[in-house]
Amino acid sequence: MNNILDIHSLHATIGEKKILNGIDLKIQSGEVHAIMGPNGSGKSTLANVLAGHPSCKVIDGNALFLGQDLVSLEPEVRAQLGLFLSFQNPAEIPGVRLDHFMRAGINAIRRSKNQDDVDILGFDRAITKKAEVVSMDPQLIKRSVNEGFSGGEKKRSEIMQMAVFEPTLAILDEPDSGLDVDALKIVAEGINTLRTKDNSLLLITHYNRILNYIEPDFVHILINGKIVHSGDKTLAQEVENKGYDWL
Amino acid sequence: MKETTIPNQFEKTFSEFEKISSKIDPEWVKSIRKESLLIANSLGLPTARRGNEEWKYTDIKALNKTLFSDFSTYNIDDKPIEINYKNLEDDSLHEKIVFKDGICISKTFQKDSYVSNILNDNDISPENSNQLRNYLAKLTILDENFFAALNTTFFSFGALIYIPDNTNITKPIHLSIESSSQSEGNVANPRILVVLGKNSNATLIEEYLSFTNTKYLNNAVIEIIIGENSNLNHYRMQNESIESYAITNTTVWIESYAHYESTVTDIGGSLVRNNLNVITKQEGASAKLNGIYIVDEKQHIDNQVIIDHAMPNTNSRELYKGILSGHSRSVFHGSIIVREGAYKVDANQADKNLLLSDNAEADTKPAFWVYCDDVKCGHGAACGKIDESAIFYLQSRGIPEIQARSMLIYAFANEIIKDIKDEFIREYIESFVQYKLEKLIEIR
Ligand SMILES: Nc1ncnc2c1ncn2[C@@H]1O[C@H](COP(=O)(O)OP(=O)(O)O)[C@@H](O)[C@H]1O
Ligand SMILES: [Mg+2]
Repeated sequence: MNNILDIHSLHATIGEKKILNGIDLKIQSGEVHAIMGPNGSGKSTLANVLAGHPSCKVIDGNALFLGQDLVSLEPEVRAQLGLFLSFQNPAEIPGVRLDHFMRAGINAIRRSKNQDDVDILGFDRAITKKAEVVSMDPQLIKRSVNEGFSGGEKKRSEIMQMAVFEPTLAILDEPDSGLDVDALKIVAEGINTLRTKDNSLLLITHYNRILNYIEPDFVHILINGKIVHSGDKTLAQEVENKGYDWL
Repeated sequence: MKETTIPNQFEKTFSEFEKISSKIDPEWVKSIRKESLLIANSLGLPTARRGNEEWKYTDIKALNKTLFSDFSTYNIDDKPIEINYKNLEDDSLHEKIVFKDGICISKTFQKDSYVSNILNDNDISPENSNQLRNYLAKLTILDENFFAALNTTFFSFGALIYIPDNTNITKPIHLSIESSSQSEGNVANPRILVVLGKNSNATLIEEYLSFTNTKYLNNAVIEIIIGENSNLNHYRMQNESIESYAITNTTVWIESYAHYESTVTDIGGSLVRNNLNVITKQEGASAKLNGIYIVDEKQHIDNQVIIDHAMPNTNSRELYKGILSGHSRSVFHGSIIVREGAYKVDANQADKNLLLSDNAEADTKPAFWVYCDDVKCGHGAACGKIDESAIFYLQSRGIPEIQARSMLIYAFANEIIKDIKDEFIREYIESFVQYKLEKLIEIR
């Protein structure tokens, strides 16, 4: 087992507002960590801080990814090192096709490792296969990124991208929101097929239901920008029954 | 307010010019020149902006200071250089014609050439000669247009492109309009007449290039008639010197069930003004007018597009997109006229701008003059900045910020580029746009 992520006393602000108030979290290879918490508790901010969103400022602490402090790295460098964020609300990019978007990303990552660009035809075939992981309509791949996509299609697209990028650490910010029961099952099972002993998941969710399909090794409760409680998967069930007030 | 110094200068210049032109011009051209000179003199440079809607946003005063000192006109000894098209490396073209400082200097002599040199072609066929006489200076309305009148007074040679009925030319005809004058204040007046017969198809590339850094004025007039059931694809790429003034006046008549498509790409020039007047002359005529302009530093671009739906069942689609950086400024003034009785007209126009700097400014001024009830007219305008959340999204997938920005900017322009059917031209315009975008992103 290797240390994938090691967050130590992380404090962060957005504008003037303090959002993260000292986060400590260790993730090892092969593990699934779930983060739960009420709306506005800072879950997405934590994801954004790790991915390098320019409006989140780290004011204290650090976050080591494979031994390297993320805080000073450009977002693209983090991705090149193997970090992936599945967005809660991914942006629309009119005029940029989803397949071209993914190919540009893969090629940028390959160039950072002095590898040649992917073969276009081979890549096209590969992503068609990856779309099958989440039963995504292959037509969507040729359309502008997220433009006119339904909420569910956006989520499928994010997980398909996870399949394409094969990250060491995938941070999934509410991959379940807006999905009906059937779609949730498909997306969750898709995520499961991507798990290996070498990669890890940080799964942010509001609800217990996705955890019935993706079994977490650890569950953390985030309130007011702090992890107030950690436990195993039974903690998720407890939160589901009792809410957050007892914590 | 009229300028007085300028007209005097024209009189003098014209009397010099006339010494040569009178030996070349047929009588009917002589009288066109005289009339135009009168108009140019009486109008003067449109420097007054107040109460002058047409020039409200574009200040032309700077032209006064440096220009009009040197007119490119013909030299009696000028003989067109013949270009044997077969020798050109680029076999993607049907034929190519070169203008130098406003003067048409070349002529092709391949067998099925469709281009002749206006007023300087001894071999001009009676048919071509008729077309000239029927249409030259008949389309452009000179009365209120100083620059068109100036061109008509002083144009020296020029290109007539006459494509007879039932002719299908698959490869483009290329007009290469080159500026190379080393004298400061040079004025060039390229003149182009395109006559497309019935049931014919053609593609025209009108490209402006510069080999000089002097301040000059390139003042082109283009007149186009598209016959019944014919199609013309017209591409303009403008990359004049960053010091120059670039003005075009284009008038297009579209006959019944004929279609005109124009794609203009402007990246050069310090002050650029394009007047495009399109008239649907007969029922069933249609037009698609697309434009991309990419400007930076202190570049100023002003597109005045008028579509005159003179007849019923005619339609038009207009999409102009601007990318502005530095202290640049754009004006889009789009007028749609629907005449009385022109029922079932379907007209739509949009101008969208992407501002890359806080100091850039884009003005969109739509105007509708609709004198008929049963019509569909739409209009859209947008002005925005790069979506930073999309930049972060791209970066989160490993793409460096600069590349992410250029991808988004390119995608904005690509809405127009992807519509270009001819692959050779699409790739050419793609590289033209990329070339300018790379400069913008470097400067940032
Ligand atoms: N761009 C922003 N500007 C100011 N405040 C923000 C911004 N984004 C999020 N916040 C605030 O940060 C807090 C945490 O938000 P977020 O991390 O999205 O919570 P969660 O994902 O847990 O619902 C909230 O109070 C929210 O209002
Ligand atoms: Mg959230």
